[in-house]
Amino acid sequence: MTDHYAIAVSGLTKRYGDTTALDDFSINVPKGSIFGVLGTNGAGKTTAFKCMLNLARADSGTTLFEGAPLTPALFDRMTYVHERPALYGEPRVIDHLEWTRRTYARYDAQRAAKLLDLFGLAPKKRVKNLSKGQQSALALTLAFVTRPDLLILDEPASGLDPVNQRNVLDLLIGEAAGGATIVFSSHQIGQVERAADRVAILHRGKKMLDGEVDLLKADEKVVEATFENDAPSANGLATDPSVRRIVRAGRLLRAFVRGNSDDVTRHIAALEPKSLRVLDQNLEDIFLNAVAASDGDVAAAAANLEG
Amino acid sequence: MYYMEFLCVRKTLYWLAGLLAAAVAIVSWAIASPAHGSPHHFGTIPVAALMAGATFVSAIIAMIFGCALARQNDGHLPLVWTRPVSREQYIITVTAVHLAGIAIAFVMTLAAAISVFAIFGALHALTMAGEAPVDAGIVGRMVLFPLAWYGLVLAITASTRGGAGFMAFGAWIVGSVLVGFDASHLFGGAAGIVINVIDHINPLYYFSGHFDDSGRNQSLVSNVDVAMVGLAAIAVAGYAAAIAQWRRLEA
Repeated sequence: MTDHYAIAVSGLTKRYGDTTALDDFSINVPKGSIFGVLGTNGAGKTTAFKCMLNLARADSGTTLFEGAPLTPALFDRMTYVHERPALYGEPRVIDHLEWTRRTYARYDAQRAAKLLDLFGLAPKKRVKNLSKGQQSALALTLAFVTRPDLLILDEPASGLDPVNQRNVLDLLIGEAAGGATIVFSSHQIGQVERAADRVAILHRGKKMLDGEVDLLKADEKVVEATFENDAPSANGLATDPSVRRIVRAGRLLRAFVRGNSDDVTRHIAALEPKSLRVLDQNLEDIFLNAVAASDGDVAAAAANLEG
Repeated sequence: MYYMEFLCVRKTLYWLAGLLAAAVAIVSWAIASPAHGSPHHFGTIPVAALMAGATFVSAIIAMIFGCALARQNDGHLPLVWTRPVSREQYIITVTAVHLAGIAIAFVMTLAAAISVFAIFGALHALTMAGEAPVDAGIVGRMVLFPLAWYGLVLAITASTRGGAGFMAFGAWIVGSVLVGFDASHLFGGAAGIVINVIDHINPLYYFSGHFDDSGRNQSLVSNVDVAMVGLAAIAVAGYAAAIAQWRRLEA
């Protein structure tokens, strides 16, 4: 049964020539949740959304919205914001709103006025004269102004200033509190961690993991030990299936553990460190571990994230 | 759904109105100038000739509107295709706006041409019937010619991103050259046959010709019914091809 999910994606695969942009991507998005799709640049986030919405044809896989395939009529209560605002340059802000009003039965004029005010958008300004951030804000205004039940947002805060980034996250949280389901992508972990209750991590077209953010964080620990001299090798840990990764840096030894960390903690304690502590991992650690498990290049992943 | 295209059509028609007003002013000034002699000697002008001019202008407008799908392909598809209408419905509604725009362009141009005669009190020079009847065949061709261009341009640009204007303009040049080759019989044998076959998907082939002394259009395709069927076929086939391309396209 998939109809209790707002969106059920199963095995989506998309190839462009020899490149597999999306490889067997599957997620289930419960109704009323905020689902963050996290990934480095080029991870396949946009391709995933395009395939879900039939903007691109998947080579295989299915997407069901409330248990049924996508139909144009569903867009009456669903909205999508592309990573690059697909707005028209010559028409004005007010023209885009008028177009939306004529297209959607659920258009809310009062909300439109509030959102224009929130983002500081001049209604009579031509879109080509707006900054990139203002264009993103207009695209988001058009998305929220129809009071959709389902929002799919690709890098919604991209190009926005910090104040409006916060405004967008607040809008997302507000919509979800009102019962809407939101799927959004980002390569900014802070945004996802702040807003999302569930997350999927994509890397090189493959889903590395997904789940509830709180559960993922509770399930992932860092055992961190400091030694008097250089940290010893902990060869015994390498074979432990719960250990995702071991990092030695000078006197510091970190073991990234999934599940119960007691055995790993005892093992490291036996090495007589100067200090030993067990920390919860944050979403950034979880992301970097997932990516490292894929290609062993944490530094590159971190650089991509920052980029 | 068609609102943005409506704005585009409206803007185009505003431009056309400005150009026509300027053209009327220039022509009127030229007629009234002493160098031209008496402004009241217009002779006899068949309305069909004015309609042919209006058809030509509306065909250019049709060419501009025919690039509409290419304009959407140029970065707007994620916005257009996530609206609560199907791709086919979108094309149908947009086409309806375009057809209205083409018809208005035709009427505007014809009205502008007639207004020149009206300015000089020479409406009597226009002949509607008798020696220069506006027969159904001529009217049919004039109605179908812009539609055929619209369908052709829609078909050749539906999958493109950018450069659609050049392609549409190029179609005029290629069409004119083909008609020139065909009419002049410059190429004989197999080459001539090939040119003639290709020319069958060229709207100009069914419309080109000249007005004889009686005001009748002497076209390359002398059979009016064949010409109308040819133009209608290009319009319908082009339209169908554009829809088929949009069904397959990815954003």
